[in-house]
Amino acid sequence: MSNVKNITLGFGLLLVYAGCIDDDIAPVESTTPYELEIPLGFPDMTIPADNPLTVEGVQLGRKLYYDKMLERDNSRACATCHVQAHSFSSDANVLPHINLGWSRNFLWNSKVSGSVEDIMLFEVEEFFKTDFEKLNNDPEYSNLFKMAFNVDQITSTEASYALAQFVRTLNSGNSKFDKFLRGEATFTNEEYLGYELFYTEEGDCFHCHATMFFTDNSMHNNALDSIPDPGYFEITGDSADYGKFKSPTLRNIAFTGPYMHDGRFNSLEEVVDFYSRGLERSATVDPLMKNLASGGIQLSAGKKAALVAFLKTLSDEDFLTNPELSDPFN
Amino acid sequence: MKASGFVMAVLVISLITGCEENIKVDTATAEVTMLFTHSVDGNKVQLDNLIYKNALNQDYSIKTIKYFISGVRFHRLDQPSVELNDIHFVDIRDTESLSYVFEQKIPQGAYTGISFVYGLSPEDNTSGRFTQPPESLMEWPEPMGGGYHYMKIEGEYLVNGSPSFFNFHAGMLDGVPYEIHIDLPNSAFTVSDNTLHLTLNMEIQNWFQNPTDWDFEYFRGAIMGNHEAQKTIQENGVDVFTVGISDGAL
Repeated sequence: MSNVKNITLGFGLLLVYAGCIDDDIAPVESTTPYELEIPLGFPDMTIPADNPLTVEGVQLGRKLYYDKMLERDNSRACATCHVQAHSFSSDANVLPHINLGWSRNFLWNSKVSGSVEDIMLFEVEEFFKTDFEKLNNDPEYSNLFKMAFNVDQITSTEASYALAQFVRTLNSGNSKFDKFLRGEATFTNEEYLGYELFYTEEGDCFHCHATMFFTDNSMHNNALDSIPDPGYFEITGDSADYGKFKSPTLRNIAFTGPYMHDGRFNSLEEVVDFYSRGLERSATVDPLMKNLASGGIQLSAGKKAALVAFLKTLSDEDFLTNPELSDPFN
Repeated sequence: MKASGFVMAVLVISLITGCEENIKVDTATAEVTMLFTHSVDGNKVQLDNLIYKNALNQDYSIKTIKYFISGVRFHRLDQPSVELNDIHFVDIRDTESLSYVFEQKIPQGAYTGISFVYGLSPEDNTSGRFTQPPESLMEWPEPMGGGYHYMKIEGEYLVNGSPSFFNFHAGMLDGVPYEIHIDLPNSAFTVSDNTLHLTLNMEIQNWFQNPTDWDFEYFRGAIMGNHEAQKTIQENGVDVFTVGISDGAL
């Protein structure tokens, strides 16, 4: 009788379980789950069920990220333009690869939207045009992909999944600002004035550089030019999107210059000067730029310096030097 | 065998109730759907068009309308009212947000009226409550008291023929709550079907009048730190919303 009950129980539980789960790809059983550390104060990260973080996947992704073999002619790796010391950005004027696990729009003109896997697939297939015959003929990569994804043939899917796993570990949230919020650091008077300017409508930075990520991940025309570059219009074809670009994160902003989508400003001081007096009218300027009519927020020299001082509190030195994120070939 | 039959029955019940997708059928309740519409002077709002005039004859346009509603409550005669716990975020440019099915159903029967909170009550308005966009992007900065914007209306107004932007942003300022507890006029109804459709209309012109005529040149573009402006919005907002009611399929 007990055997009958056990079989019934087992079958029943199987029914309950099978009736509720999604039909996602099961992770490779022999892999080791990777324990992702989410910075304090950040929300949980949504990770696709078919690409859970594993130690093997993250390590493979890190190797790929730094390997010029990813590019068809072996000339560039992700890390060529996304340099750790520059918050995974560089003077190539690319957006920093940080905290992307919470993003849904990628690239300045939001050419790719979706998951980190989607942007990494774009990088592999369209940007690098990776030669997978080359990867498949490399015994080390064959072995690493086998361990991480249990595949005998490497495709753009596995490569983008591995890169996405590593990119999800590039999380920066331990700046002086974060320590200030946690009561572990105090601002100087100048930094605190900058903090107040940032978070009130006098400076009015917070509407676009919002949340703990200092970006709203949205597209805006911030009044850079009277005849703006196309920006998001190139993607949507909607004239209302002309001149709109993604709000970049301001975390580690002191290390991610030059600034704006075309890298026209070399210093934070130039950026603050622009918002203070350099706004230009065009048809699609965002209504959040409410000082457009007067050319900007008209900050005094002291307040501009304070705003820059606050922006520098967003630097996370630990992240910029974290050896676990560094070039594994060195 | 009786024991195994009992176990099987329990498991079948578990199977039926274990998945979110399963629907409980209850003919004594009604599912509440709310549609959100927006008008100026009674006509559907036309975004990005500088065609409106406020009570002071100032020209203005509307580009953005985003807001929270919460604490929707259905009042009954001689019975406790029914409150729905949902907080819903509306963005006029996000079509999906303009229709919302409340998680909780209401009993069928006669109701004397509907009330709700425009914005968020102080107990709902705590920093960190919303972790995902778009709601999280309504955050109200800590130096101004924290929590979330109740509403963002943005547009342009004309000053001596030249356009300027205004950000009609409302919220709890420095701990002073400015949400509005709204009793909707003409909102008595009887629901005898299993669906109830409400159409909540925001008459934007009313934000700018009664009792105080809003002067764009006086308040200008930025009002988040301005208690007088927040109080004016709160007082003007009492008659901004009206509701249309129908039960059964639309």
